[in-house]
Amino acid sequence: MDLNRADIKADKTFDITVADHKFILPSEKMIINTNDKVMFNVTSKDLTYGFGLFREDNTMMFQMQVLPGHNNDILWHFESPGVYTIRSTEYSGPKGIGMIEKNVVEVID
Amino acid sequence: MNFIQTFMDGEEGLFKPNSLTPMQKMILRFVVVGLVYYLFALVEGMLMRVYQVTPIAAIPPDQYFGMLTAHPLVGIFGSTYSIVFGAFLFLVPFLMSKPLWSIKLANWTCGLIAVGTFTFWFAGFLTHYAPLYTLYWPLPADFTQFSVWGGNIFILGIALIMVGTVFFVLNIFKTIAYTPEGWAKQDGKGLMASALGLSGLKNLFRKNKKEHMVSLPVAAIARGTVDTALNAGIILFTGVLILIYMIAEIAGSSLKHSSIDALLYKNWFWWGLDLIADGLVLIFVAGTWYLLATLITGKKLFMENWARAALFVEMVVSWTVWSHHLMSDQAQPGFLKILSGEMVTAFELITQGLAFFITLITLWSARP
Repeated sequence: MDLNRADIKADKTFDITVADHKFILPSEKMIINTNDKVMFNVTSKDLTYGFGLFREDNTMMFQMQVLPGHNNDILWHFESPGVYTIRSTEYSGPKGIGMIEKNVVEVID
Repeated sequence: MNFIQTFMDGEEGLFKPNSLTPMQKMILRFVVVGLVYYLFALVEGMLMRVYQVTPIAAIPPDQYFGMLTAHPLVGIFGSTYSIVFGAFLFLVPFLMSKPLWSIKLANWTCGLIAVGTFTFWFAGFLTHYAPLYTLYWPLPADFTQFSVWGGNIFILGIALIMVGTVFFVLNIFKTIAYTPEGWAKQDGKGLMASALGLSGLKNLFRKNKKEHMVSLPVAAIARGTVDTALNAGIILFTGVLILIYMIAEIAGSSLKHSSIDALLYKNWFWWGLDLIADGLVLIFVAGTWYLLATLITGKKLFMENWARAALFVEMVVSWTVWSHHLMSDQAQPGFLKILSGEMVTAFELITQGLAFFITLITLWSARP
């Protein structure tokens, strides 16, 4: 699905910015309905980061690289309820080790 | 004799350095350098493993990341390059029954790798320059996190290693192609064409096949050395690029990070680095297996012409697989991810699978 993401209409789109080793989210919590197709559009203002969604048991659901000066978007189909944490999945120097946004994505029925 | 005396002079004082030939001294230097940096990598690796379980108070996070950055470079360049270059600077002249083109240049390679490795290691140890071996742009030039002087010295160390590597490449190709003084003129072009696989490729279209002029292990070393040369070029260029940013910073004229496209840089960098990981490593390993199999069995290699062709294919494949490092870069074109990242990468299974199969069948054929 992701390879054809340009042709698929997302039910929701979240624009996220990353700068100075911080995620700047559109809202405190991003609420998604089960079975939604959601586009995460992540922009870096400086370094190369990562954007990954992790389950409560710390397993990874998906991740992508976030390169400055480029569109970095991923389309994901959320099939079941859950709560997810955002982490940077790419090394961006020692200042980047705390790039964790806990439980900021919630998928509800 | 105590331990130190035995260590320096050998068992019962039997190690006599003055009795060694220049070739033997050169190879031993490579072995010693390779082992010293193997020890570095071993100790750093264990420290980092412990740190992963529980942070060590004596190692602050900046030091840990400095270690994390230097460790693979110490292992690949300081240790593995030293051991492999030393081995092949012996093996190529040995297998071709002719002298090495330049022992002096070989010693320069050893010295540059030894000094270069210590230079970047020490810079990382002292200043914690830590953009990781991946050097994803613009992190190497992020002077809010790293010392610009530390970075300069670090990159200088890497550059010294690459110059030493270029000397190795020159020495290997010259040894293959040159005519030693006083010898009958050798067909240098023919030897190189055979070593690189060009004459083998032409043989596919010839009715009267030409004999291969170099042995299979020498062909493997030559083709892996092509990738070694290309990689040295990429890393030297990347190093110069980073140095330009650092020198500008020192001069008080900071260059904008976005002047360089991060995605293009990543493609360039991984194309270059995969020439080590998916290129020279696999080709050198296959060639070494073939040599060992024939030495152990005393027999001709099974499917020798297929093995020779596979070495050429492996070299070409190594130029095309880099996108498997960009599979989660959403800006990377989809056709590159599929063709380069998946399909050609999968082809390595064939080339390496053949190497395994040929080696094992050769060994099997010598069973009592």
